[in-house]
Amino acid sequence: MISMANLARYGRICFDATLVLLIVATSANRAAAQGFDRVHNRNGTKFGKITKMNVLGFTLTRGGVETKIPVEEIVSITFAGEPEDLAPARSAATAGRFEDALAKLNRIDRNDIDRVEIAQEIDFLVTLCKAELSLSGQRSLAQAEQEVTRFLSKNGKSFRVPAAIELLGNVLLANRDYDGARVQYAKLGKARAPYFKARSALLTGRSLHAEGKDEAAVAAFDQALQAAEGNVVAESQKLEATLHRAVSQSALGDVQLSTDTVNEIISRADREETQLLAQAYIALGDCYLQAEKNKAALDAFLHVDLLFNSSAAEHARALHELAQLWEAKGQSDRSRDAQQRLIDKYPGSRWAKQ
Amino acid sequence: MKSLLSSLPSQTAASGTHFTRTFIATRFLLVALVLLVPTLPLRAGQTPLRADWAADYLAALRERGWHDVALEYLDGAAQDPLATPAFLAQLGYQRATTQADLARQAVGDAQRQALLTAAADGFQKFAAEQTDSPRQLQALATAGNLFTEQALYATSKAEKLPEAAHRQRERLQNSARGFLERAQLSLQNLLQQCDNKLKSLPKAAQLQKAALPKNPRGQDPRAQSTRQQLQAKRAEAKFLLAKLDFEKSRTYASDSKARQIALETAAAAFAKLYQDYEEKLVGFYGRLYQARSYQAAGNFEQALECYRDIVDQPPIANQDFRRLVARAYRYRAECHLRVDAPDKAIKECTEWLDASRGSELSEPDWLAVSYRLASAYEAKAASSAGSEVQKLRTEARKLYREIAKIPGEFQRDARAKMTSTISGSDKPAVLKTFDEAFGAGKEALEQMNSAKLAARLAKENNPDSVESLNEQAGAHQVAALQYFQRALQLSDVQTDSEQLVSARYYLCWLYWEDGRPDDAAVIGKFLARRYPESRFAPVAAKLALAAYQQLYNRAKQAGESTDFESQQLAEVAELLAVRWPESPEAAAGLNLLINIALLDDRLSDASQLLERLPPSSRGAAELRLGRALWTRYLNASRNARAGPDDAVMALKRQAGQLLASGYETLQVPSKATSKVTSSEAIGVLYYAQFLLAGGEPLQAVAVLENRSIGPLSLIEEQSSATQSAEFVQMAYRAALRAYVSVEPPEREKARAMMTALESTIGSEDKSQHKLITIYVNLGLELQQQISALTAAGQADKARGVAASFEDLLTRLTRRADSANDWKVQNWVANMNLQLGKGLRGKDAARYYQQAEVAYQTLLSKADQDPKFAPSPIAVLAAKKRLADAQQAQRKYAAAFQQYTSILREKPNMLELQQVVATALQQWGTEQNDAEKIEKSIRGAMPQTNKKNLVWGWLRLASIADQAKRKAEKKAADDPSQARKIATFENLFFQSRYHVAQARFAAAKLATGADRQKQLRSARQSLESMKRLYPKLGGPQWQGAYGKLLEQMEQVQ
Repeated sequence: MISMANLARYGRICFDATLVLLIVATSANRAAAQGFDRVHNRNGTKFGKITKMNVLGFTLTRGGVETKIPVEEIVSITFAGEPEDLAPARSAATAGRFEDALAKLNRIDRNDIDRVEIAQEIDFLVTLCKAELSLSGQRSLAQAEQEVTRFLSKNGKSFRVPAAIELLGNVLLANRDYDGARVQYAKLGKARAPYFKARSALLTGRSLHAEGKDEAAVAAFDQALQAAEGNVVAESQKLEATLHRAVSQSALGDVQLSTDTVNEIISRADREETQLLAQAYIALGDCYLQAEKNKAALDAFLHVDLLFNSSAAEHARALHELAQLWEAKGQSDRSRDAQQRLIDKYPGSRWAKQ
Repeated sequence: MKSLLSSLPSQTAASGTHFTRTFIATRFLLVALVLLVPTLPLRAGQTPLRADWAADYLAALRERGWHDVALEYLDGAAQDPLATPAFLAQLGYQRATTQADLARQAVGDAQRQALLTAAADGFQKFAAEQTDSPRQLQALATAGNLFTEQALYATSKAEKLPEAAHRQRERLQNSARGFLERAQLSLQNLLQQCDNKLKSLPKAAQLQKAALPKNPRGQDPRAQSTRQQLQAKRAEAKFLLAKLDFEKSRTYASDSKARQIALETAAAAFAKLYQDYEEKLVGFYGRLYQARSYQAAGNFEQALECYRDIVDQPPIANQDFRRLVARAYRYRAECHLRVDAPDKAIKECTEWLDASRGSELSEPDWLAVSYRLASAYEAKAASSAGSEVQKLRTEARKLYREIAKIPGEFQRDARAKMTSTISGSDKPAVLKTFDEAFGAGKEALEQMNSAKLAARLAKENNPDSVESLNEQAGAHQVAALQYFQRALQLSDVQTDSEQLVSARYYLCWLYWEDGRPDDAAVIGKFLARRYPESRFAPVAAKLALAAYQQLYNRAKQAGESTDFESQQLAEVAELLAVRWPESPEAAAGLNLLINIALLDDRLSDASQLLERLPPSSRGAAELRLGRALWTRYLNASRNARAGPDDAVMALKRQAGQLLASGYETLQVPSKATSKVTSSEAIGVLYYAQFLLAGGEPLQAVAVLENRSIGPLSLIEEQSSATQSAEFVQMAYRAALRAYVSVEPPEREKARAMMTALESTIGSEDKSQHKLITIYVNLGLELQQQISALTAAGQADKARGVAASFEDLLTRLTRRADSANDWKVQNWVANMNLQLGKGLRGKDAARYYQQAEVAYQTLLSKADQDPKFAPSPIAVLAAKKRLADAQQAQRKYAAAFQQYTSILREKPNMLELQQVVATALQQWGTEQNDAEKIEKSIRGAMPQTNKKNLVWGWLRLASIADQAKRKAEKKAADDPSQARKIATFENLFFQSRYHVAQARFAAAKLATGADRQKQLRSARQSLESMKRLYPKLGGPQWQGAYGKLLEQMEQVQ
C-alpha cells in the first residue's frame, strides 16, 4: 500500500511525521502569504519559487539562487497561493483518513486554480485517496487502475509520477496481476538514485512473495538491501526490506531465523512508526503460522487489531487471520466478531471475500 | 482525610440476603482498599507507562474482557519486543490482576476459586519481591481483599446449605476461616509497610516547618502529603482487620462459644478504633461495627447505647456521615423490634425519615430504615385491636409499595409483604388458627390457578391484560406460600393429619415454583418418608427428586462437590423404587439416577441401576446407556493406534446389545402407541448408525423406516421428538448411507434422501458448505466401503456402491452455481480420484479418467479466470492431483510433466519430491528404462544453479537426515519437535529403501557381469543400512527391508 506516509518516507530517515505535519500546518499559510513555495526535506525547510519540475524533482529559485531538490528527498510541500483546504486534505490523507481528505479536496473550486503545479497536486491527492480506498476494499480496483493511469497520462512531468507508478503497481498487485505490477515497479528502478533502485527491488520482492515465489522474492529483497547500503536517503528502505525478506525466508522454511529478525525489527522500530509496526506484526504472525504456533500468531495479529489498526490493508489481513485463529481456539464469538468487523470495515477487501 | 470520607463503606443489614450481603461487603472492601493506597509519586527515573505499547496492548485486551488472552500474553511478555523494562518489572502485579479479572468471568466455582487464590498469592509475591514499587501497598491491599472475598463467598454458601448438610457446611466454614486468616496476614503486612514507610519520612514537626511559607530549608513538601495519605491507609487497614473478626463470627454456629469470642474480639477492636480516631469518620464506623458486634451477639442494650453515640451527633451535612447515621437508625430499629419495642422503632425511624431530604429516601440506607419502619408497624398491628390495626397496616403497605418499586435488598420481601395484605380483600389477614391459615392458603392457590388460566386464555382474547393477570397469579402464589407457612406454625397435636400433610405438600410445591429447590427438597423428602401412605407421598418424592436434581446440576455447573446432592438423590430414588416400585415415579427416579451416572461417566453404576428398572420401563434407559457405550467405543477405537483391544470390542458388543434391546422394548405395542421422546428417538437413530457401522445396512433401513419409532417415520409425522434440525439431518444422512449400501443399492430412495437433506439446509454459503461437508464425509465413508469390498474380492458389490455414489457426485455437480464453484468442482474431481483408488482394473480406470477430465476442466477455468481458484496453492494442489490421476492411468510422461511444473514453483516441497521420485521409479520399472530408474535415485533436470529440480531418493534421504538432526537439537526445549523427528526419520528410511529397491530393479534389467555387479551393490546397500541402523526405523521398515533382501537373494 502506498499512502502519504509512504510518500513522506521518500525523504525521511528518522523523522517524526507528526511533528512535520504540525510544522507544515502552522507555518504553511505564512509562507504561502509571502508568495513562496515551501519544501520540507530531510535537512529542513526551503522557501522559494518552483521554476522547473520533472518526474525526478524540481528547482527552487530564491533571490536568483537555484536549488535542485530530488523527489526522494521531499518530505512535504506547500505551494504559494494554494487553496486553504489543500493543506488539511494532505494531513487527512497522511493520517489515512482518505474519505475525509476527499471531502476536503472536493470543496476546492478548480476554477480558482491558476498554477499547474497546484492542479497536479490536487489531481494526485484525489487519485491517491480513491486508490487507497480501493486497496482497502471499499471501491473497485479496476476503477482505481483507470484513475491512476489517467493521472499518469495527464501529468507526465509531475514530481508525483514515481509515487503514482508505485500506486499503480500496488493496485495491479492487489488485483493479482503480478507481472503487471512488476512492470510498474521496474520503471522506478530505471531512475539513477539508489533510493529508487532500492524501492523498485523492494516492491518487486513483495510482489514475488505475494505470488508465492519466495526464493525470487528473497533475491529481490537482497538487491534492495544492497542498493540502499551506504545511501542516507535510501537507508529508510532497509528496515522494510529486511522485514519482508524475513517473511519470505520464513515461507521457505527458515522460520526461527525469520521470527528473530522480525522481533529485532519491532524492537528497533520508532514507536510512532505504526504502519511499519503493523507490517512487522503481520510478518511475525505469518512466521508463527508457518511454525504452527497458533497462540503466538494470534497474539501477533491481535497487536495489529488492537494497537496498529490505522493501516487498512494490514488491519483487514489481521482480522481475517484472527477469525480463523479464534475459531480454531474454540472461541466462536470472537471469531464472528472479527469476521463481522472485517466485512463491515473492509467489505471489498480480498480478505473479506475469502 | 478526604479519602477516608469518600471510601467508607455502605454495609447492609445482617438480616438481608446472604448473597446481597456478601456482594456488597465485597464491593465495599474493593472500593475501600483501592482507595486505601495513595497515588504515591513516581520515583525519579521511573518511566511513565503511558508511552508503553505493551501496557496499551494489555489495556486493550482488558477493555474487551479478553482476560484469558491477556494472561497468555503476560506469560510470554518477556519475549514481546515492545515490552519496556518498566512494563516487565510489574509483570507479577499485572498477572495477578488479570487472574482476578479472569476469576470473575469463570463459570465453574472450582476454577473461579483457583484463580482467585492464584491472584492473591501473586499479589503477595509481588509485594514481597518489589518492595520499592509504588504498587506494593496496592498489591497487599488487593491480596487481602481477594482472600476476604473468598471467605465471604464460602460463608454465604455454607449459610445456604440445608440443615442436614453438616459436613459440607463445616468444610466451607473451615475454608472461610482459612481465607480470613490469610487476609489478616496480608492486611497486617500492609499495616507494617505503612509504618515502615511512615518511619522513613521526615518527622512531622519538620514537615510542618517545611510547609510554612517562610521555611528556608527547602524540604520536600510532597512528603507531608504522603504522610497524610499513609496515615489514612493505616486507619483503614486497622478498620478492615477488625472487620475480619466480625466476618469470622459468621463462620461459627450461632450458639457456639467460638462465635461469641469472635464477636467480642471484633467489638474490642472496633472500640479501640473508635477511641483512636475519635471525631473522625473511621472512628464512627468503628462505633457502628462495635454496636453490630453486640447486636449479633444478642446484647441489644449495649448495641443500642453504641448506636446512640452516632444518632445523637449534631446534624452534619456530609453525605457519608448521613449514610452512617441512617444505618445506625436501621440497626437501632432492628434491636427495638427484637426486644418487643415497636413504638420506639416507629418513633425513631419516622423522625429520621421526616428529617431526611427527599432525594435521600430512595437511597439503599434510607430504604432499609423504611422497611424496618414498616416491620415495626406490622409488629404493632399484631398486638393492637380495632381500627388502629387497619391504620397501622395501611401505613406498612404504603411503605412496602414504595420499597417494592426500587431494586435493592428489600424489594422482593416488600413485594411479598404487599401481597399478604391484599389477598381476597382489603381486610387484614389476621390468621390465628391452622384452619384459618390453611383455608386462606387453599383459597389463594385457587385464585392463583384462576389467574393463570385467565392469563392463558387472555393471550388470544385480551393480550393487554396478560401481564396484569400474571402479576396477580404471582401475588396469589406468594400469598399462598405465606399462608401455608403460617398454617404450619399454628399446627399442633389437634391438627388434622391429612390437612397437615396437604399443607406441607402445597408448601413443597410452592417452594419449587418459587425457585427454592432447597426448601422443596427437604419438605418433599420428609413427606415421602414420614407419610408413605398419603396420596401426596409419591408426588412429593418426585418433587424432592426434581429439586435435588436441580441442586445437583447447580453444584455440578459450579464445579463444586456433589456428594451431598448425589446421596440425597440416591435416597429419594431408592425410596420411590422400594415403596412404589411399579409407579411411573419410581421409574423416573431410577432413570434420573441412570442419567446422573451417565453424566458422571459411571457406566457400570448406570448398568446396575438399569437392572432395577421394571423391564417394561427399560427401553429409554437402555438406549441412553447404549449411546454412551457406543460413543465411548468410538472414542477408544479412534485413539487405539494398533486397533481396538478386547476391552474396547466388549464395549461395542455391550452397546449393540443395549441399543438392540432398547429398540425392541420400545416396539412393544403399549410403548409404540405412546409418544416417543426425543431421547428415545436419538437412541433409535444411534442403533441405526451402529448397524451401519457393523455392515448391516438392511437392518439399519428397517430401523430407520420402522413405522412407529423409526426416525424417518417420526420425521414424516412431524413428531415433537424430531424438532431438532441436527437430528433430522443425522437421520437423513444415515438413511442415505443405508440406501446406497444395501444390496442392490436403493438409488431412488437415496436420491429422495439427498433431496430431503438438501431441503433441511439453508441456501446461504455456510449452509452450502455444511452440505458439502456432509457429502464429503459420506463420500469418504463410501470410499472406505468400496475399498474394503474390493479388498475382499467383492468387485460387483463395490461397483454397485460406486454407482450410487456417482449419483451423489452428479447431484452435487448439477447444483446451482456449482459449475462456478471451485470447492464443489474440486471435490467432485477428488472423489472420482478417490473412487478410482478404491477400485481395481477397468472399474478404477473409469473413475481415474473422469478425475483427469474434471481436473483439466478445473485448471482450464482457473487459467482463464485468475479469480476462479481461491489461491495459487489450490491451483498447485489441483495440478498435483491431475498428475496423480494420470500416473494411475500410466500416462507417465504427462504426469511427470505436471509434477515438475509444480516443482518449478515449489521446489522445496518434500512431499512432492517423494511423489516425483516414486513416479520416475515406477515409470522406469514398468517400461524397463534403466535411465529413468537411475534418475529416480540421483535426481533429474539440472537447473541453472546446477542443482537438480527433481531431487531423487538419495537427496531426499540426506535432507530427511539433516532435518531430523536439527529437530533433535531443539527437542530438549521444544517437545513439539518429537513429531517432526518421527516424520523425518520415517522419510529417511523410506528414501533409503527406495534407493535399494530402485537399484535392484535396475540390476534386473542389466545382463551378464554387470547384472551381478549391480545386484551385489544393491544388496550391499541394504546390508550396510541394517548394520548402521539395526532397528531400521521400526517394525514397518524392518519388514519391508527384510522382504526386499529375500527377493535379492532369490534372484542372485
